[in-house]
Amino acid sequence: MEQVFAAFGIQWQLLLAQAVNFTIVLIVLTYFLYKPILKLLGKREEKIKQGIKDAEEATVARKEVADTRADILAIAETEAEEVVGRAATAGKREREAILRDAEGRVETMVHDAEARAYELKRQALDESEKEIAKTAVLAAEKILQESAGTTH
Amino acid sequence: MEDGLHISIAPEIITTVFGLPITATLITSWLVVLLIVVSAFFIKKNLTVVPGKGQVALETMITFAYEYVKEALGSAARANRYFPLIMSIFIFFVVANLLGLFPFMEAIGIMRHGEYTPLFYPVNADLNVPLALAIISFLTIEISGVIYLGFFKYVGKFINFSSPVAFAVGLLEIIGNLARLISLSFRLFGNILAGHLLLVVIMFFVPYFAPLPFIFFEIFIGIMQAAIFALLTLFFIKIAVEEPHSAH
Repeated sequence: MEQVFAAFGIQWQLLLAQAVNFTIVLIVLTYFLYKPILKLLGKREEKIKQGIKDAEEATVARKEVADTRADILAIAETEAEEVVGRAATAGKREREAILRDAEGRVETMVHDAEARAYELKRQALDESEKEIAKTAVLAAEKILQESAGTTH
Repeated sequence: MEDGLHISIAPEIITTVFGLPITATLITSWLVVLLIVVSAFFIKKNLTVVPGKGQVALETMITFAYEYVKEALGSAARANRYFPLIMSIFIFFVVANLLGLFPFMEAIGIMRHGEYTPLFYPVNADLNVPLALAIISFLTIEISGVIYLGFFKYVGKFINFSSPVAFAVGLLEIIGNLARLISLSFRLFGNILAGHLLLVVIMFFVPYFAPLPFIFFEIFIGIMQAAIFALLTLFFIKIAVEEPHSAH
């Protein structure tokens, strides 16, 4: 066995030295390469998982918001239609009232105008009658005076 | 090169410091460790939540390997425990094997006793390195078996007196487990040494262009052998921590 060891140059000191060398490599790589990289990968995986979870939650939240918005819009639309309907009805009523009022006022105005016209006509007739009477009296006087003059 | 090809299976000892023989492969191994450590510091410093292209590539590689280990071992807890070892084996061997193909290997050296001695040499062309990691791998496999199954149940896989066949199978299991030390280490050592020698021979005879396809082939072999070592360790761990068939 010793001859084999000597032929291959195997010495326990060299074996130990090489084992120590490898142990250094093992320790250094473990603490400076594998652990940091695996930790980093774990952290990144965690972040990606969290990102996916957040995205899913955001999608659900967005859907909820969209649904709520649609509900609110539907309610608002219904209410708006009701308001518009009420406003239209009220407007129609108001228009009718205004028209009625206007018609009444027009009738009153026409009536007043007719009354005034009648009054004016009557006054004109009265004045005409008075003028005619006055003219007739004057004519009678004149005729009388002329007849009296003729007589004298 | 004027002296011809210099090939040796045993690493050349450059000097000895406090009883530790300093070889070219040990120096190269330190260089590999330095490269990995500096790269790891640099990568950690530049890690960002929003990654660049390089980080994406690295993350993809690490994630792929981690998921593979998790799938093979069947749980995240086991993957967290064994992934660093499996991945470190792969990275250490890949860097070592690829660094061994660089031209400065063997080009930088010293003259010692009138003889040229390189300061750098392909790490896995020295049996000490794959054997050291095979021992680490072997111990991890066996200890994992004991931890997950309990001492007696795990030993029961190898020493079983329930029947002569079970006893023989147990003995074969012992031999098979011990043979892993040899198979793991010699497979890597043989491939890298053979590749290195092939390149040396080709470069000796045809220094220009001819070695290029072989260098690409050795890059492939270097990565492949690192993956094989790491994957075999993973599968042996999986076998060790699983309940013995008789328990089902």
